[in-house]
Amino acid sequence: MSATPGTDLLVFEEVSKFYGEVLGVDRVTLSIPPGITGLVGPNGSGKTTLMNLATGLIRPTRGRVSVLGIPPDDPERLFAACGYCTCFEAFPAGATGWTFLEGVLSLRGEGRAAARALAGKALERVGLVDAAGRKVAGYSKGMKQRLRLAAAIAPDPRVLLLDEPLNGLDPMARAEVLDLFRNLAAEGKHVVVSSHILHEVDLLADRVVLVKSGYVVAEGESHGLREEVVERPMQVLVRCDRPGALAARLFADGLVTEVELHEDARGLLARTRTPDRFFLALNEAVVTDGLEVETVTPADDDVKAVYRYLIEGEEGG
Amino acid sequence: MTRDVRLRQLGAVVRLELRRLFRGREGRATLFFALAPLLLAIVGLTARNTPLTAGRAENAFAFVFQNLILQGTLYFGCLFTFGGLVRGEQIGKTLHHLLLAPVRREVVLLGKYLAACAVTATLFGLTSAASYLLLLSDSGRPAMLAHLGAGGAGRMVAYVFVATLACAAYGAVFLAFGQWVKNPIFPALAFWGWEHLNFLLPEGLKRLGLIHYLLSLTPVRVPESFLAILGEPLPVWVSIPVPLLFTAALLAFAAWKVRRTEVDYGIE
Repeated sequence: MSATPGTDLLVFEEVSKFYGEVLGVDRVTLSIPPGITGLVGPNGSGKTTLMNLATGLIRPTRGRVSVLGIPPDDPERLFAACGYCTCFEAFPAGATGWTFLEGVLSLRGEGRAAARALAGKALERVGLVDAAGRKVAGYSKGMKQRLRLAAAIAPDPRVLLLDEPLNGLDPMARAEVLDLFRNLAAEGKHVVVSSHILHEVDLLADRVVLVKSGYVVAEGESHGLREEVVERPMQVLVRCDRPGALAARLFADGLVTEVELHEDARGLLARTRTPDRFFLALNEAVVTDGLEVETVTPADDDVKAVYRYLIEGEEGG
Repeated sequence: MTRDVRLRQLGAVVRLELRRLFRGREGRATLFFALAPLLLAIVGLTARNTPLTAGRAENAFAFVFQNLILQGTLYFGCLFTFGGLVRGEQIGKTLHHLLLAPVRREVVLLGKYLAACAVTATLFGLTSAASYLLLLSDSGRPAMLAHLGAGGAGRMVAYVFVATLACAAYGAVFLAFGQWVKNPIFPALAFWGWEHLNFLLPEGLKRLGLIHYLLSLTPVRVPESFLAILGEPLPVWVSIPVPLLFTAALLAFAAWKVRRTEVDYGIE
């Protein structure tokens, strides 16, 4: 497709960003091809900074960024090709799902009918049609996440930057959204997904970029990551209506090593060494037992140790 | 991108901004400031025992417009509205929704400015006209109609025009302040002081204040104080283009700044 080198890539060339004296990222050089790329690192490692740099929300202190050959300071061309699902949670006051999406799409210069059609299609893809007439202020965290995702994918961009897109989604929605990302990648798009959860990215990405303390510490194909991650238990926070019953089921199936029930009896913190089977069992509990899940949030505070483990392993090997 | 698309984008930004202003606290604050002179006029008239003559009502409104509206409610109403156009969205963490669309940032800024102009000019224009009519109505219906027929209506329109020009010019000042510093209230207070002291300045320095051009356009002028250094009103061909050029220069500065604006709410 690309006529000139770099026009089919997301390129960071020796990019540094400092917030005053605080390091955001330093001397990052990356070329990201089409497909799903996972940007993985602990909170504060520089993942969001890289995405914000690529979309011009912030400017590099040094270096050069381009998306399909387009510099970030050309929003007309950049956002005709690129959609960004940010981690910023605020929405305009009083907006409903429909009015928010139509408003965002009308900024593209679309007519009202075209904007509504695009909005409808995107809401359908993220499974939010039924709630679209309601005020966003009353949405759950997961619904807001899906709405942000709808805004990013609605214009069918060639590049999608997704900052922690699975945060707050319930198990069913997670599975649907993961499928959606795979479909988008299969259409030849760039899908860059940031996460601080290695397991999430391992399920999804063709390649992984590990970021830590503002530096890219490793990058490459993601296969093989899963086995290494299995060595360490993953922590998952589940908010639901019957945490006790869920905990009993998970223990009975041998899917968790430890569970802490929340004091308000509306959630639990589980540690699992088999995240794949854990999430499958969670889905089954929703479908067969009618468990009402409000949110599922990975809460892996040991993630830095996993990175260290992986990076040391790579260097050693 | 074609001119038509850019115009549609501009229209979309204006619509979104109007919606935001009507729903947000900026809109409520502006409405409060716009209604304040009208409410004061109602209170003042209710408290009086003897009715105003049409001539006294004209002078009373001139005083109110010059001192209370132009240098008070309109000034601070515009500060709330225009000062928060970009800054308010940074604080509310919603600015990125606009900046992640395929639209030039200058178009976003211009759309926001035009929407704010429409809101403030409508509110302050309407309440200025309503205050004028209310004060005049104290003289009785026949006297009011006679006064309006004898040039009063034209003067009322002139006041509305001055209010509109003031909204555009002060709006550009506060938009630029909002782009320049984190809290535009402090430079706005300093500028308010400068505008307030304009009547004390000699003729040459008076021209460095917006208020001098705006007052030159008001149909009736009342001395601000016995200390006031009265100068000749400026001709229309000076007092209209100069605020407009000043406005254009400030908008250009704000556009230059918005191109460099970084959105990182975490470090706000």
